Amino acid sequence: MNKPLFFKNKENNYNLFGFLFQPEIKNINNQKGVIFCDSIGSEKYYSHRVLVNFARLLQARGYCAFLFDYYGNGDSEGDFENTRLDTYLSDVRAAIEFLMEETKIEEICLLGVRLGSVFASLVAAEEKRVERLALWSPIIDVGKYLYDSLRANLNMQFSLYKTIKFNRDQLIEQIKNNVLVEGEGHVISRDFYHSFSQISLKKIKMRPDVRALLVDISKNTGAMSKELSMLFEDNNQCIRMTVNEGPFWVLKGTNQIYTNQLKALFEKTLCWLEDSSNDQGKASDNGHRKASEL
Amino acid sequence: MIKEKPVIMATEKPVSFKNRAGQELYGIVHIPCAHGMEKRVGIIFLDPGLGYRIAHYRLYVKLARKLAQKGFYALRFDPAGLGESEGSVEESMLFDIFNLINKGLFINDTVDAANFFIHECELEEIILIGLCGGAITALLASPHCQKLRSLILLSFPVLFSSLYIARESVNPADAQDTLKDYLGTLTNFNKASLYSLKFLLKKIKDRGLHESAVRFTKALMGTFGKDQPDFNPNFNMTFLDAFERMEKDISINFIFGEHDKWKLYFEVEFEQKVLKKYKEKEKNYNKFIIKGESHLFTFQKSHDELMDIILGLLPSVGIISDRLNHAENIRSYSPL
Repeated sequence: MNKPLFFKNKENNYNLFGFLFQPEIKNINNQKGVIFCDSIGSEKYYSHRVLVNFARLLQARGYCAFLFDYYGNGDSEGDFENTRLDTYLSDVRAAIEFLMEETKIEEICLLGVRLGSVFASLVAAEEKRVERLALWSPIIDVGKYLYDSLRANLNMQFSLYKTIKFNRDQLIEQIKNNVLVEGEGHVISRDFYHSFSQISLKKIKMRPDVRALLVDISKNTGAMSKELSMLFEDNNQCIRMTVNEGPFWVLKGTNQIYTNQLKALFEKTLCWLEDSSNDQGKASDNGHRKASEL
Repeated sequence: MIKEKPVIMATEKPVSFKNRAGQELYGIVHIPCAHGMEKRVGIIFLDPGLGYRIAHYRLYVKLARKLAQKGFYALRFDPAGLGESEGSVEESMLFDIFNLINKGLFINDTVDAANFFIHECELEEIILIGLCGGAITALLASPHCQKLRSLILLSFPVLFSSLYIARESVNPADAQDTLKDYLGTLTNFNKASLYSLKFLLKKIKDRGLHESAVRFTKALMGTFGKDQPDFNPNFNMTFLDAFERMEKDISINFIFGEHDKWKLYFEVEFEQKVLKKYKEKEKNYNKFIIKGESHLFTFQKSHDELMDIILGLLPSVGIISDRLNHAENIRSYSPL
């Protein structure tokens, strides 16, 4: 059963949009729920259908899948420029609260995509109801990510004015001086920037009992990025894998293949969900397993 | 019938309905802030290309919310294969899918959505709004939509996307634009222009030196040459056909960003060539240009201007707008 709905973030008293994919078959997975913590701006926009397709796959395998929009994003209440790191974290907690109240879910997995990985990880590090954490191509250094996302602004300037009037350092200065600056499918406000710019996944100490999956999605290489391979080193249940897929969260021109079914990524993640539920805590000695091993 | 609350309050409500193929399509209906309007007018937002019902920069969400404040019903929905709707869009090259959209891939779902919306909200008139691919869908679906009053077409694409044809010839309008790119980069010498140079070098790297040189030469010829083709082989004839068959009492309104390439194509390939040379057709549409804007209406500051243009094109629904000024803060959200 599919159910689009609005639910309340009681902590901040606003409404969020969510889409609940409830299981179609009865099996052992029925008590498990996967909450999608997606990215923002263009990345959210272009990856939406991929996430919907994975949610449907989870649903078909007996899981409950829940997609929701953060405050100021998607169909949820509010404007993006009023969002801060704490609104995103509060929204993830509200989604957990809602899903556990609305369904008979007993186990929660947070699935973070790109910047959503940061929100999912920060919540999972504190929230004991989260038993599993899967991160797809996580953003590690958020300040660098925001700086990089200003490339979209440069592209826009070039397309509009045939030159670059403000480079990225100048744009950052504008943001700090309380000017709203267009980024990658969203605006960046001063408060938004300040709340995010110092955040790094490397600084998060993950709870040791969280079963984590880190997926490096890359078309070019089979090797995992060094930064990602060093993430959550203290968590010996962490499994790392590389998946040979293109970045489904970007759209560059019409000369590319439209993809919304990432079979390798979907199957490997499902495999991990099954594996980690049936075979708790049996990650390899160094905690690093490649996708091919699963 | 969707229930309205007897207070000044805009409501957003998730909805679902089946299309003629039996697939469940999902969307959000915005129910206006007031009751007792003289006329019930609904506005349907059509997905841009392969995006989904929020559009880039949440443009559709913002517009629909403001329109609901002004007394209009609005529906943002996803056709089959997009958003959360059932069905799928076959995986293939993007420009091939865009061409399918330009030929009417989503017409049936649009008509089914319009019928659902009219019935659910007891609408007397509807208006279709679309951006880029959504604009062509709006135009192509219009002959099949009941109670249609007008079309609002943002960043309308008059040409098909075609990688192969584009390589054969550079469009004259595009040529001028390309030449400006080159000259702009070469004549600016400030710190930021280093980025411009990097962009140019990246473009040359992506295209290859040979193709870049060919492109530059064609840009020169396209700009200064007199030997330009009368008719662009990429021109979307389906659009022309629909445009010609449009009922006279339906108002057609094109809105472009000043710097959108599709504005150039519209003016050169449609207005200058097709309308003047071939059809001698009476101009029966409105065109609006938003200064400093791009294809996707990116800038927050111009959203108000876009909204003003749209409101100017809509019929009066006979409500007292100043009662509604504070309505956004008390918007309600209903479960399905």
